[in-house]
Amino acid sequence: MRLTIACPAALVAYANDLAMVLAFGPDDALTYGAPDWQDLAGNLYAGASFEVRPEWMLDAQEALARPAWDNAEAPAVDMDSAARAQGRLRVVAFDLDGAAVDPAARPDLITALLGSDGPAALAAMGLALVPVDPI
Amino acid sequence: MLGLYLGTSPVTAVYRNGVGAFPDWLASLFSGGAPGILLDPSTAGTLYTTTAMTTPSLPGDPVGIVLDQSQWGGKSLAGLYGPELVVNGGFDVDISGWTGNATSVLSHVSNALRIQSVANGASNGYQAIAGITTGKTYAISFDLVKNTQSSGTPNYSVFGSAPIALTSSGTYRTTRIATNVQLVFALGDAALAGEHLQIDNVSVREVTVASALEPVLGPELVANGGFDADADWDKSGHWIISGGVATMPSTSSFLPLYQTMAFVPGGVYRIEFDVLEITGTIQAVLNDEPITANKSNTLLINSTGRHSGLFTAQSGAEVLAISRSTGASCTIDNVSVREIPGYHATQATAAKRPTYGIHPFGGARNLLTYSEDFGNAVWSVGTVSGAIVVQGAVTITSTNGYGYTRKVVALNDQHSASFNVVSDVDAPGVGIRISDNAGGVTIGRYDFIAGVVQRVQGSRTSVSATFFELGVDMRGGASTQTGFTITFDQAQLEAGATATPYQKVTTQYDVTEAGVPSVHYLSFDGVDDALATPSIDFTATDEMTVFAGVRKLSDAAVANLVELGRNEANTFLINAPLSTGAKDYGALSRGSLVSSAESGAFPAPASNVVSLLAKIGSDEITLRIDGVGFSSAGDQGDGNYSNRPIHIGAQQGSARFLHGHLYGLTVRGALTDDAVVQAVEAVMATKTGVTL
Repeated sequence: MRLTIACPAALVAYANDLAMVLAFGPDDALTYGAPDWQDLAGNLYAGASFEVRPEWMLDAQEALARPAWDNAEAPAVDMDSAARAQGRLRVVAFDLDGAAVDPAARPDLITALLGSDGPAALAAMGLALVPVDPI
Repeated sequence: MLGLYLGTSPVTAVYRNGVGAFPDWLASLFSGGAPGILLDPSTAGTLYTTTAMTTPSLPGDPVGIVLDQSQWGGKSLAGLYGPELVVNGGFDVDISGWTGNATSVLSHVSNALRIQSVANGASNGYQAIAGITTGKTYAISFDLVKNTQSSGTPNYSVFGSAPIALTSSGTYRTTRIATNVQLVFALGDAALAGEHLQIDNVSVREVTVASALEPVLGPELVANGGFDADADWDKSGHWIISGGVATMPSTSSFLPLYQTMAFVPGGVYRIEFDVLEITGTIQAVLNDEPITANKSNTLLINSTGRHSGLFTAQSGAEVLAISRSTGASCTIDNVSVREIPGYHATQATAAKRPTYGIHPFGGARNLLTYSEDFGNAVWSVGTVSGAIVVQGAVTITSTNGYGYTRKVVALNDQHSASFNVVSDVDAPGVGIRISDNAGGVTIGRYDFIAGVVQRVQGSRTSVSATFFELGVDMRGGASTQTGFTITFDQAQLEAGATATPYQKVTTQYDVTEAGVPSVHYLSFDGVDDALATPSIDFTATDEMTVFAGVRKLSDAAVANLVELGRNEANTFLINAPLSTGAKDYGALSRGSLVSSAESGAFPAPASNVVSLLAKIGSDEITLRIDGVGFSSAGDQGDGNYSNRPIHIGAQQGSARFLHGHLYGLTVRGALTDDAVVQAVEAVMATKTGVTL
């Protein structure tokens, strides 16, 4: 199942620490990049979308542990930062008819929505791409 | 979609000159030394989930690395095709092997097959081609040499297809999935007695696109891998080299046996060795020197035999080290390390990796997932009364009972559902019903015989539905039967009112259809997926050719399919689409100035073969979509292309993300002859699941 996440621009650094904990290594510090999505109010978000492992969904709800690959004496992961992101993570629920319950992205939360299509999920969150230069 | 090539195509020359009928395009593209990449998801063993390359990607898995095959020795395109299946397709001596119908006379004229009407009306000549396997893909080609039909047009039919018009002389070429063995050339219904057509150079060959290539490895990097002498290896004071093998006899040491060799950071290496004796576990890894840190993934072995692994060398990798866990002895022999050369495309960040997928040639139609696995959590129990429902099965306990199993899926138009139904006991008058948020329709009432499977089909139109249900509904019927269980299987939900052959779906990335070949692709999600190669030095050339098989899923936002750079001089770029809301493709080529080409409309979703041919010095840029060219002669200024990474699916890996599938990608720092371009496009079409 694909999980698509909208991370408010102000929380990107925290979210990337959480991404390293929930994924595989220091390269996952680049999970959330430029905030190129925006809501109607102009709040900016970074998008991420990936086929989510069941372990990811479980670990995201458990107490975070420093990953085995990270050296605690010279850490790549700021665990406090990761915990801060975890505290802001909201996975959108679905009702019995399969409709997402309150999927709109919020500038104070990291919103995650399950679905089969990344751009469609971000649209369901009320987000659109920030217009870009023609070149 | 174009069905054929007409006229005086250069392909004619290729077919007539080439022994195997198709050009040796891999050799011609890369064997001459042109830099570039050739990525082919259909080649087994070229996709891995991570850059560590420990796990090959299966459908639905992320792809962290795609091995570039451009330097695998220039294996011939002919190797991608099976042997010629047509008997006497050249008509060099006679027309043996060919048969006509009752109103035709076949004859041997000018080393071609003449099919002549002896009465007004359709006349034909045909061959039942031996060796055809239903469901496999075949490349068909022939020349129409002459046509004297004065009214109407002759035609041909392949594998039982509807007649395809032969409108002018020239070479015709197509790829088809076999449904039977017939290849027929015919004069049309309006043909008059005495009119005729002449056919030559008939060819039918199987297209064997998967697993056709093997990597050509680089030179051996290990000295004394056979341990013929006690030399070249550092034994860490514990290993013993004697008798043509290396042994670690100590039970307390796990210090490595290692050797320094030249690794290229980012390079991919195949490491192999024999394990003659072992208890515990052996580890092979690339290390720095002196050994303080691993500089690659590791290969763990706990059994005898020849073992191999693929390693990606990190910066600082200097030695191959083989060690074992504490506990017992191990003996090894015949160590080999060889590079798999190429500019392999990678993505280090897990969330940004594209996903490997397969679907049947012609596309996926079934909108469901887990179509045979109702135990999966994507299915749930829907509406129920007077029944017991588990996912995929309904047991009726009341004469007015009903029950449904439910799948979340968005529906907003007419759709058809088809599925297998079976009852555990004889049960007459069972209502089978499909429904969604807005209601449902009873497909029919069926008399079931215990254990006998019936396939049922129905359709309805829904607006803004969020789920689909299939179930049993006994309300309103005359039956008083209860205590039976209806089980569903092989469910298909698809657009339109008509059910088509069943496609099995597990995840959305794993769709198969019996008798139909699968095509292989990388799915880019339109949010953050991207790949990039190491820098490729194109500074010696101002010529560029690109071939890509693409399914564009959205036109909602400008997206970059492949690029050498963004706004920089000496680069190229292909967009899909060119701009937000456009329904096209675009390309640009830059020397010191930029010139661009834009295609006509190809609204998403669209599967296309996309090619780019550009030359800075002569201001050439042609974007070809399914063989149709869109050119510009704008000034590209001066200079050659640059030495940069090729980014795939995004602008510099960080913006303008492609929302679509990539079935294959070839980038070549040279122009390519028209004939070869068309041949490569034909192969790319087969890999993409489209017919040109």
